Amino acid sequence: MMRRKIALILSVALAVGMLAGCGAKGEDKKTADSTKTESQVEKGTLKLAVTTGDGSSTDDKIPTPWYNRVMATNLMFRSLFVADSSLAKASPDLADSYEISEDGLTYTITLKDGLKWSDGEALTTDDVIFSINTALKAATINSIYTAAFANITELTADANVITMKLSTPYADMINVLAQFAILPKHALENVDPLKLDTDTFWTQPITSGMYAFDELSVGNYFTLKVNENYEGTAPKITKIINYFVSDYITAAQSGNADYMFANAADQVEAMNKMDGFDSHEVNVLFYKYFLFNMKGVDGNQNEAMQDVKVRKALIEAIDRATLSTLYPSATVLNSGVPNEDKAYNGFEYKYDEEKAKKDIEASGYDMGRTLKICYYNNDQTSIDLINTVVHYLEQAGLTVEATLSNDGTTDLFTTRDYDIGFKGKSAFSMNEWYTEYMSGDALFGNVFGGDTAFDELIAQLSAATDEKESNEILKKLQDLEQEKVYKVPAFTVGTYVYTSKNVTIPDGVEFCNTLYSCDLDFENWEVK
Amino acid sequence: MSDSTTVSIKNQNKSAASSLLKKNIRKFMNNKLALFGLIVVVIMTVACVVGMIVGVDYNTPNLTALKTPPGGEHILGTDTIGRDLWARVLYGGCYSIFIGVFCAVMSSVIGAILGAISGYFGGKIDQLIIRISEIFQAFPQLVLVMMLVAIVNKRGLSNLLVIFVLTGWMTTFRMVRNEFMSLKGETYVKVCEAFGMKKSRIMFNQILPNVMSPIIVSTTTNVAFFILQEAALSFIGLGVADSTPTWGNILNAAKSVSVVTNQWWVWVFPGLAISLFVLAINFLGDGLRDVLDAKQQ
Amino acid sequence: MLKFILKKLLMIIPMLLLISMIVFFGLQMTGVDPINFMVSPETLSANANNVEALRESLGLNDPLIVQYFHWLGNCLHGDFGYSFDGSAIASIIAVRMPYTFELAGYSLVLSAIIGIGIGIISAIRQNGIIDYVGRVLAVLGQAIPQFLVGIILIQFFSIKLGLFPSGNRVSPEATNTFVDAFVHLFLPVLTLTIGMVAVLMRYARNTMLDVLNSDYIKTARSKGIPEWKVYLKHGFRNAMKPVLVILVFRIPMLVGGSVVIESVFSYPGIGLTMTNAITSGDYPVVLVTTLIIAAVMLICSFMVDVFNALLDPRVRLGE
Repeated sequence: MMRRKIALILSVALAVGMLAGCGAKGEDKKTADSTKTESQVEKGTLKLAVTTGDGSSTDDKIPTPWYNRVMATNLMFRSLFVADSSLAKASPDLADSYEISEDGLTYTITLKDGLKWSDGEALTTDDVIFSINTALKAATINSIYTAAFANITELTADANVITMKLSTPYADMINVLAQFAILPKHALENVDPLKLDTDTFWTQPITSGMYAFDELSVGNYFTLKVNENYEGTAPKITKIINYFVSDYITAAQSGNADYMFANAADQVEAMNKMDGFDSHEVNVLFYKYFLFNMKGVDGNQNEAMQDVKVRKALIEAIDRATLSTLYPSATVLNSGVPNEDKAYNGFEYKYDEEKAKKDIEASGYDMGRTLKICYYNNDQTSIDLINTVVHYLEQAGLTVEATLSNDGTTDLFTTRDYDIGFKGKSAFSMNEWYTEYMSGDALFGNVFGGDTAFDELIAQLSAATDEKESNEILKKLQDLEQEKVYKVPAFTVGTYVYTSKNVTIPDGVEFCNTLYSCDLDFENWEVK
Repeated sequence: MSDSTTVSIKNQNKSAASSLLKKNIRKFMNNKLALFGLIVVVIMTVACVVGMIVGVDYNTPNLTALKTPPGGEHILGTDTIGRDLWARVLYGGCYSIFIGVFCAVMSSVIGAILGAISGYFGGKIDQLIIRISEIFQAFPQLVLVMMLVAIVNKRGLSNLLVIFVLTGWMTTFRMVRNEFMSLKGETYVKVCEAFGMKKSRIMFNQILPNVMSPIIVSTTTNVAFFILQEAALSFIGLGVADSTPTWGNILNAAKSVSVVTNQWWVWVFPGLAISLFVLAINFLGDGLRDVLDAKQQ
Repeated sequence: MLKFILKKLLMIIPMLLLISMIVFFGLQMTGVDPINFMVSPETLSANANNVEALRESLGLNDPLIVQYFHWLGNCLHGDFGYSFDGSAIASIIAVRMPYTFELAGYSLVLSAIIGIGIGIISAIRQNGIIDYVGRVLAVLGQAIPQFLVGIILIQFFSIKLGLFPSGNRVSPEATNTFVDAFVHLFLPVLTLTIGMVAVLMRYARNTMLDVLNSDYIKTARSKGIPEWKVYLKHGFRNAMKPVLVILVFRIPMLVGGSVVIESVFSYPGIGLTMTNAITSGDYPVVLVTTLIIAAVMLICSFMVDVFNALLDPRVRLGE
């Protein structure tokens, strides 16, 4: 009898403890939350969604601006210049004015007077120099910055003026600087550049843009408020909530996102079927492409792919035109240059199943081995696409295995386990497609084995300022890449921006590539 | 139970057994849910196996006929790259049913044997097996799957089978062990022991039959459980490789919100297949339990 | 009795150690280099020296066994180390653990009440209407994959009807914490409960049937004890033992189920943290979350032992 009583008491205690635990937690929250609840219910709140499903950002800090730029970081961090929707033209932002010397080697940039960070500290040339120098050492950074900044030989400041000297002209320098977010030196100077993007700074960042960081609730959301130290016109939207979501579409459907973008077919289809959203097609260079795993910098080469005839035959076996129908507005292309561009050289990879079969046999490829494909986008459309590619190659008589990589960067670039990689690249410009061929490229050097054939042409291309000249170089580059067959583009995919009908966007706003930053006249956006 | 201790003639026992079987079958036939379960399980299994043997084309994409609604050439429509869903559901059934049945039976066998040993002998052996079971029990299945996938560098079917069996036997084990602990004090066991019967015979011939009913119930539940578990693992991207069309992998299309709202057939049919099979197997298990439970005779 | 409890409790420690070792060395066997996750390949080849220094400072050059004890020592001081993306794991756990406990706790209580309730009624009125309807509904709930139930519930309740949010746990515009908690928890708790009820109901019904058919119930009946008292006092109490075992053993399943459900609802609990860590290969986080889940499971199994011992002296005597 006694024992049963103990058992009863134990179980009751357990249940009570569990409920008390939950209850107590609830009360804690109440005191913390009730102080701000009154001020929070106000008009003019824009809702954004930050996805954590693709591994590019985590739900315990705000996204960092040096790899991809997203709406929230664009509103918080400014650059020296601000780009227009083509990303190829820029006007001063933090900068007041700038001058480029005749030879294109010296940049003189004057900063605006009286700039301030959101914490009230002055934003000076020190911050700019600190940011550029740190970028060259940072662990996670978009290669457009490192490629451009690597040409800088001297970077000095005198009062409000920054002088930047280059070793060779770099035509895109101002456009790159228009993407490059300046970070506060006083908050980050003691941080190891390799650990910069994981620093606690990103849980309560100091900002330079029209919005300042307000509050972060780990796993739930972070909010932005108007930056009182912003010298420009104050925005009409007074508060921005960024929800951490695992799926954009669900967030949009349940009203947690007033702005979002999509390029995968299933997402675009879902968004187009929803009332309450306006869609804006954006002209971007989003390449989806195959790359052949040739050789590491260590000389360790993938024998099966060395013969260019094998690579050409494999591409012949894949019907890229049909594949492109999986995407809402995909355009097949045959090099880094779109077919309708003036610089296009006219070459075409043709799909021919029968010819592919013959060519593969003729090339002496060992039909008994398993061809391995590695891909890293795990959305439904990518999986569908890869499954179809596998089918095409199987039709040509090969044994194929496709693996989803958990860590695309490492698997794609540091191992020789696979033969073909499939990846996407939302490129800043056509030049970026070609800079991937540079022998010194830390990523692609590991795949193309540091082949130096492209280097000279690429250097000419980044220095070329004249359109005719650069078109000539692009033609030569296309010939070369079609001869080498290291990378074969499948198509470029169109991106769509969606804004909810709650949002009123001022006339004349054009959206740009959603992973970069441009002038959206955001201060005049309004929310119902 | 008291039957087994009363003295009886062999023949009498035999005829009693055959009449018991007839009685059981009659009882089972009267249980409509169980009968329904049995019929559905048999039909689905046979259909899937026949589909596989005939070699239905589950793998050819047709990008000109993707997302076709059910009807016409494709009974259940086509999926997001135009593969015939009917063929995929049939083919996927083979894999999923195999995973379910194999893992459930294997884990029950392991669980029952270890449980019998542990419960009957007690002491040090019991302690050891209990600890092992607790370690396996405590391990999150996900982590084991992930480690195995990372170590063998392949998302294969065999990984999943190994992990499911390794992490699946403990419930049966616990149950059998506890029953054995209670039952070994019973008079009939003492009598058998006094007769000098072999320990293995006492364990498996005398005590185990009395524990069969919970084992059968848990095995059937486990078939369903493993099928569902496979689907869940596929959902978070740790299941069998995409090229193997298990029901879980087919159902994975429901991850895409657009498919959920616009192409209901792509996820409803594999979902229905899973649910119907699981439902049927649960009814079957319940029915078997009602029939087999000696105490209700 | 106290000695029994103490002994069982102490056994948890070496088992946790063993599990931590298995996971630690298992993860090492996967051959993943943490540096690859912390530093992009661009930097990897550009700043080889810095990277080497980073490797040294992280202690990655030490022998495995040293690394293990180093890690263990830190854990004992409450320092669980850092995830590859730089957050202190202790603080990740501190934020997410309560969320998961909330989710699992409410689901457990709700499903226990509903599951055991229906189970007992259908055992008492075997083959009655409640028995049939209850069984069909419960089994139906169990037959549909949980994540699909979650997706359908989101589609219906949060998108079609707009009654509940589709994810997260706290909303920034909340005026009332209780309401906020309720709306965010409702769908995930419902999803988990739907899956749990069926199992509990089956077991409650089956064991209750066993007990009701047993000799002592028949004896009790023959003594003329009122029906309700027979059910409640003799039936219920004896049936509860196996049901309790199953209930406690459902907790790990709840934790497992919540892993999937948390990613469906982007609910920021420990399960979502673990799934994300697994898919992104953030092994320090995998290691700690595994241990936490293992600890929860070991404590559950300890509780099963204690309850068993308390309720059935034969089990204890057998030890």
